Amino acid sequence: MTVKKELDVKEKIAAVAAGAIIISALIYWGYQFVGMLEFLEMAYG
Amino acid sequence: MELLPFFEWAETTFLGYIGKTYGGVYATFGQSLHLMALAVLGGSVLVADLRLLNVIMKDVPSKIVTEQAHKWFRIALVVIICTGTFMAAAVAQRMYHNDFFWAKMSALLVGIIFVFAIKRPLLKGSHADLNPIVIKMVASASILVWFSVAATGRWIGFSG
Repeated sequence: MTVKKELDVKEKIAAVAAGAIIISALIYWGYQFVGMLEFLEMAYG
Repeated sequence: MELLPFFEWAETTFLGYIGKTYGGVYATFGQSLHLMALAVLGGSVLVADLRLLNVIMKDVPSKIVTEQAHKWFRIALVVIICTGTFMAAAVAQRMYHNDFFWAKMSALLVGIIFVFAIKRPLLKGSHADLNPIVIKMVASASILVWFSVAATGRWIGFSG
């Protein structure tokens, strides 16, 4: 694969959409993980 | 827009009645086919995206792998939507009040839009002309979004 200097429109849209999905997924699953830890702490101290 | 009446109606339909009344039909045509289709969809996503990430099948051009995987992805997606609609109709009101059902539907919608509006148009041309970082970002996002669909889907069964 060759590295281009500038991204075309399709690549820019893909990069923004992919970035948004990655960040959203990390926030969602991070939030679920913290919730699980709090639940375990309440249950078992 | 209030969606509860739609979910109440779904339970009264023929699909809802069959699913609620005949456990065997629900288990075989609903759950079994749904899980098998999910396995095919997950497999096609992993094969295509791990190839794009240069993890597997490095000796096969990524274009060939993604094109082949996408055919199976489309078939699996149709089966998942058909069997999922059947299963949800049987327990529609319970689904309406389940947060993970809505999380799964949101992830599914994002996944479908991402695949057909972003990923496919991007990968239609020569992969060699694309920026490798963008390809890897798209592959990672794809794995994450379909992982979310699968995980929230299974979570429905363990909540409420």
